[in-house]
Amino acid sequence: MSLTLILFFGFVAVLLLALGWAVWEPRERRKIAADPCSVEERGQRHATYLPQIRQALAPADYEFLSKKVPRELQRRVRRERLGVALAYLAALRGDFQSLLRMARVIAVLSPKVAAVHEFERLRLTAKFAWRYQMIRWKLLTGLAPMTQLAGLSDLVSGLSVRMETAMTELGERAAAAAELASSINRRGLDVV
Amino acid sequence: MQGAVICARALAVAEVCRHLLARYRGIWAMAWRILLACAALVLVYSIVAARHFWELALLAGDRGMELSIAAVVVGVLLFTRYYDVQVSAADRSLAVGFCLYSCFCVLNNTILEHYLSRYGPLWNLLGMLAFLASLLLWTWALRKPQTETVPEETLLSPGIYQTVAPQVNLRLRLLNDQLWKIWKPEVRRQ
Repeated sequence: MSLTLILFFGFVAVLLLALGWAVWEPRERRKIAADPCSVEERGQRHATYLPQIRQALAPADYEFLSKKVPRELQRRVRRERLGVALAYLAALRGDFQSLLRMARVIAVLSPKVAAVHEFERLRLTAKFAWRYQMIRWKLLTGLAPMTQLAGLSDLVSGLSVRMETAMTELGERAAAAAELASSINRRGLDVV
Repeated sequence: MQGAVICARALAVAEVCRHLLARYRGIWAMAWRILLACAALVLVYSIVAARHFWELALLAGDRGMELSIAAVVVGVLLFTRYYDVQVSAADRSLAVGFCLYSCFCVLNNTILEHYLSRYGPLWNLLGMLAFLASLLLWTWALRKPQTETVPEETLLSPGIYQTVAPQVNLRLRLLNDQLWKIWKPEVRRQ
């Protein structure tokens, strides 16, 4: 097989894979698209559990337990805490993704979009995905200090607060547009 | 003649792209530039990757155009997926039809280039079949009358994007730094 054949067949294979991915719509996406409220609600849900998560991951608790309870129970507590940390990390990623989705909605509905910002967000998202997997792996192998997870939540909750302004304006404009449309309809009915 | 047909198809693809994204002024302004650059890059790629014989120049040019068309269609569908833009089934089928037909032309031309003497009649037959298959897909997509869509969405004020986009990126960067701090000690130990 010659190099030309490989180059063109390879390129077409990549294009077809990308086409399949672009056209394919997973069930989760369809559900989110059908329920626009879920996007706004998810942005704030998990970050509000931070105090409980902090409590669950506090080293003081663990030190206390190590003096009072047998080794078997300590292992069980460690296992359960790991489960909590992993679930929290996954939920945090969910929060972050919904915030990113909101950012995309704002980009779509903006009259002027800067390619620099869009590319940077894409690059940072890819970076985040890779690092998230690394942290997850470290947690699973017991190498990551769980207390540092708390800082991640602050970033997400801070972002969601700033997004509120944009979403409020979006809501107001949608309401104004709906009002305008209904008044035009009413006028149309009167004429008829 | 073949050149005119390909140019007409390229224009039709451009119209599909405009139809899908032009409602979103900001995204469209960015997307058409990226798609055009992408098409030019793919054209250059196909010229560089082709075998350089004068007798095959037309075939290579034809293939380059087809590959660019396919890349633009995939690009615009990736844009719609990334930005969660709603695409009607008819538009999607039209775009997929254009892309599959162009991809098939690229493969067909590449094989023809290598086995010119033996492959000629089969090339004609396969080309016709691919066109008929695409035509069937487009006919299916447009079997019902299409309703006219609203030309433009209600857009936000430009200041919102200018304020929010850098903040999102800053937050993401901070989050990445935070993750890096967790990961870094392990990297150092290695």
